[in-house]
Amino acid sequence: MDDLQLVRAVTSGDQDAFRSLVEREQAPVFRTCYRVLGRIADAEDVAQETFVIAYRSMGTYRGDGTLAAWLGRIATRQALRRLGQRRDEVSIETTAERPARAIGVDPLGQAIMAERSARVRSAVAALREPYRETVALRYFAELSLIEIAEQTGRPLNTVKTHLHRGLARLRDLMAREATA
Amino acid sequence: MNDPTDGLDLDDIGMQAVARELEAFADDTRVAPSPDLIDRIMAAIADQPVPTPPVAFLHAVGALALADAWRAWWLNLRVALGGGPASGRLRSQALAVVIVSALIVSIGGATVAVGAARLVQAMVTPTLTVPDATPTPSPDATPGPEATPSPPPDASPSPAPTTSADASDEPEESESPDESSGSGESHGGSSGPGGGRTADPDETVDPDETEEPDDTDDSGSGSGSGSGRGGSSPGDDD
Repeated sequence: MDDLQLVRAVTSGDQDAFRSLVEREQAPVFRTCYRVLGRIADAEDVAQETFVIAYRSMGTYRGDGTLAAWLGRIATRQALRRLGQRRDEVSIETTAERPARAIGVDPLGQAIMAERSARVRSAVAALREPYRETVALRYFAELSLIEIAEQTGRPLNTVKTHLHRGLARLRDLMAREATA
Repeated sequence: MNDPTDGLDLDDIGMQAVARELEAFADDTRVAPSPDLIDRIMAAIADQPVPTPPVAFLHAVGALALADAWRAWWLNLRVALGGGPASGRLRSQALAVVIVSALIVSIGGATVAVGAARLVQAMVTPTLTVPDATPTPSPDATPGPEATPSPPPDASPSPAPTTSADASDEPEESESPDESSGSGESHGGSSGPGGGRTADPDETVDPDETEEPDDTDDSGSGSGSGSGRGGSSPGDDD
């Protein structure tokens, strides 16, 4: 079933069609949220919100991009919004919340990975819009530049410019943090 | 993930390093969600209404997402006009959404337009009245000062009545020429001597009376006749 057929089925009240969509897209949506937020519990909450929003808005799906990219953008926006709400909170990532792939790595490796993740996450979060959204869509939601252009409605060259400037700002931010 | 640069021309080594670090971060965070996430999501949408175009429109309006609302409105229009397979109930709902929203937008637009027009009128009329008010006093003010100097010209006619008063005096003095009294009233003191001449030509006797005005000129009526006599007086003064 392609995306448009899936959308038609969902908008005609077929919840099984939506379930198949959730099964197909839950992992990338969750990963996107986790990369932005860094907490599994928060990432699951936001992933759930993402699917609820997608379900409600299914009637407005244009079909000029994949459903995966559409969901990726909703997830990125919701996660960045949640990040803004909890900006004042101190991020504490417990061992249990570490990525599953990190389990089995030696403690030093885990510590280095956790530090690097925190550094990248905070640097991306410190970017201004639209650079933050573009970088997050590219590296957290893993969308191609064309998909970003389709989902944001911006020209491809504008997306390239935003990503280029976003990376330049990230370079400066991370260099400043490294020297500090 | 694809090539992190993805067509980008990252000539800077630092930027390439950042791109590589972001990609490594994405690889490190390939986390799987908990198995019950799907059930949680399905439970969350279980009590949601079916996301038909009318419902999507209402959600978009409620979320103040104007672009989504606009898109949903078009979708409703398409459904209402018979595009795609849709039940009669859904079609009527879409039609209702299209008509009601169009009515609300047109009434709201008209209200805003009228309000804006009134506001503009209210803003424009004071500015018009102020210039109107300022010019009207200014012409009034300018004639005002001119009116005050004008009395001197008026004063010159006013002497005329005074001279006419003089002329009325003259007839009193020369009571005999009743006719000259009429001319004296009409022309005044300044024309008094002339008036005596015009009336008098037939009556040559009057030149004697014309001499009398010369006498009356001493009272200051004639400037020309007074010049000879008056010229002495300033000379005397000097």
